[in-house]
Amino acid sequence: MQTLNFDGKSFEYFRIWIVNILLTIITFGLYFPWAKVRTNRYFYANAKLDGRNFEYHATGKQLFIGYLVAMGLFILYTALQQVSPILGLVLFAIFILALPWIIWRSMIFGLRMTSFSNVRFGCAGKLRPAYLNYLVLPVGLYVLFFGLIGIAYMAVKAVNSTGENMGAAIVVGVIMGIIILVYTIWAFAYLKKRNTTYQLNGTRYGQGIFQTDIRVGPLLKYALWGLLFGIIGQIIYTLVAGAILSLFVDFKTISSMGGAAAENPELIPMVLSVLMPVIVTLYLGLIFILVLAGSYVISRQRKYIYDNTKLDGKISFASTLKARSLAWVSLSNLIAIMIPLFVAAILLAGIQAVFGPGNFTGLIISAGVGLVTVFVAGLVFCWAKVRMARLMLTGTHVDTQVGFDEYVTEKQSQESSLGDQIGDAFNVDIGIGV
Amino acid sequence: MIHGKWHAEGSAAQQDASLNTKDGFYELLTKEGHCYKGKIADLKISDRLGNVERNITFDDGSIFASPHNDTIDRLLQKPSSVGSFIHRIESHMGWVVVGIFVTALFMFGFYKWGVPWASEKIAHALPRKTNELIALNTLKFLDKYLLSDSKLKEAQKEQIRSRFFKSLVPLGSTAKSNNYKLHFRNWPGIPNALALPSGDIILTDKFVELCQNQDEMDSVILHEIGHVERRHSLQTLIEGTFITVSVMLIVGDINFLGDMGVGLGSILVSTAYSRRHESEADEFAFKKMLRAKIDPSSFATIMGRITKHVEGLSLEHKKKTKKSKNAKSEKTKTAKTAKTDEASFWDYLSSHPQTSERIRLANQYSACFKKGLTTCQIAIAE
Repeated sequence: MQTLNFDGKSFEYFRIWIVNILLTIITFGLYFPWAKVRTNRYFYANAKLDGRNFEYHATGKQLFIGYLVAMGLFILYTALQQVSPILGLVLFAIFILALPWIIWRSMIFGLRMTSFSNVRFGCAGKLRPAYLNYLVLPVGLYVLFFGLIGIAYMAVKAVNSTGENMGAAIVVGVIMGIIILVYTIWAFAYLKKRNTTYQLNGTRYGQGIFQTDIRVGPLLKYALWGLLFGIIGQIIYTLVAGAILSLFVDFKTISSMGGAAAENPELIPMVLSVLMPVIVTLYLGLIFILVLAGSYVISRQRKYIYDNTKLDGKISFASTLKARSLAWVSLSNLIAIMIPLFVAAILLAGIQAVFGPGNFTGLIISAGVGLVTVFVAGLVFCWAKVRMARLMLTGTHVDTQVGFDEYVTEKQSQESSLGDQIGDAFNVDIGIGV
Repeated sequence: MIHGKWHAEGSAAQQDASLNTKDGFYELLTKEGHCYKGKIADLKISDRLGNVERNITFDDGSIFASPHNDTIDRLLQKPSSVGSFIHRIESHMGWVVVGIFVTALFMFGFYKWGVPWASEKIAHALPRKTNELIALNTLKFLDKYLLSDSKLKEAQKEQIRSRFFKSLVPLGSTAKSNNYKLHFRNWPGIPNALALPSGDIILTDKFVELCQNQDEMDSVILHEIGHVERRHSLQTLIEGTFITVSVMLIVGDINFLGDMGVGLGSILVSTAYSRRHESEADEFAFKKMLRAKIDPSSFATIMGRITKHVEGLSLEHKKKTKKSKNAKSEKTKTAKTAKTDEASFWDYLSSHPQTSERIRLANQYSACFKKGLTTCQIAIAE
């Protein structure tokens, strides 16, 4: 077993990143496809295994038409959504209907544009199972979810029809609540199994075929543990944070102020200024717990999936990504990115307060702060991205004993980048990653 | 000499190879004896990117990959290609700094002047129908969830309405194309006037009640007409689209954590646009008032009264709070001081210009009015 490595450097990437942004801006967005290619090339080519590296082969020219169409759709969607919420909903429904196609096209394009050691990946997934996995099943499970809620409601009502069996009704309600919660987690685990199987079994490396054999059980187990950690963690955090906050903030005043603001919208900013520390504390806690529990679920499920996946039945994989490293890198990345933005916001507000709006000196100093912020925040952002890529890759092991020498690229037709670009514009996460 | 690996077309198998150059010609020799010769000028070399491996592709589809970028640049690279130009920018710190400067300046200019300018042009280029389209159902929605029937007397409504159509609407330059309508509604306790892009103007009972004379009411109604004439709703919509799309382009690959910071930034930018619209509508109202011989200071008076009324509401509530919690009055006081300290920060987030600033401007116009002028040159501080 050998581990993948990442040879990218934060500062080197930062220079690519800032030049990408510069050129994208001065071309009014037209450079974007080329920028994307440079970023992808950099991250792919620096991912190495056994002295061989990955490569991204799409060209800016290839992405350009798809990009223009996708941007047109995105602008139309953004504008129409603001005109009428109902129209927005209709467009959203159309988008959901097209989603399986978008995912399927993105998969095909993304895999075919990727090579490892001069051999291209490929995709043998079909459109029909994509619709089953990304539309029919999710919608079906969603409908079932509301069905269960309806059943729970009727059960509680039936037990308590006379209004005297309050205790029994609560017991039934709690049991049904737990059933619904477990069902929801099961539904997510089941979809995860379906989608992972669809994506991995459809992946080709040259003539080689990936095969994965995973069951819902273990995925569900990790998800349930994650949920339990999350709930317990959240309860503990809320109690501790609440106790500490109550030393500084008077909750009763806040709730009565909230009442005032509901009657009188002009008061909202004032109430917010008092509420802000409370909201921020609780929000940060929520993110903190979410990242911890999420890291546990992601790393365990990843290990299970990698252990049960093989290339041509002979090249095996393993994941050594640890929950605590993932949580640490995610959280420290988040905090590192937030700090310069936070400091800049405070400085800008301070400058505004000291010099007053429209003051020339104030504007110049604000501009300076803005420049430094672009520099620092950009640098930190690139550092965070490189760091995360390195963590994920070094947590991936591949059995290289058989070797890759017998693999050759299969003949492939030219691919349109339209689906891939729409997926990009609308931020569709298809969840493929090494 | 450049060391690297050689792959047959589409094959994962690799063998060591080295490439020699002499007088504009190259010779590649692999470990197993493959040999390629030709002119350097005919080589297909991939663009340099950081220090990642670069490929040289031969006519039979085989490739020679090497990480020795500096040697490749020195011996083989054609100096004029676009890719090498971008790499040169990336590898010179000076250019990177210029990049940061240009980026920051461009973004500043784009959001400060570009977006409002383009939005205004687009809003006025679109047919009038667009305005009606975006206001469709808005009044119905407001009636259903926020407003109820006005409790004003018919005679009073009729008087305001006739004044509106006879004297105020004709002051606008687009009176004919805008289909103005005046509505009266009750919004308990809230003095407000709203304008929908379709030309529907809504006055709340409390607002009518607070107006002590016709001039005060006219000034606010003219402000609302200003919003309709300048197509501010449509502009807001277009500005929102600009912000969303440009942000998506610039930070294309920031994940959900970055979204939070970006979201806050977008709110700041869009409230700045909203303040600009309010100032524009104020200015519109003042100019029309001068022409109609109405004292612009009426606007200052009514704004001051509305503010006082709203502050009274909040004060009333604070008193209630205080009464119920005498023991903790100390803490309420701290909260109040905190409020005044942060006032300037929240102004920054507010969608309306500071009332004091609006009143100051109204009084400047009023000075012109008192001199008997019908136009007035005043520089507005941003």
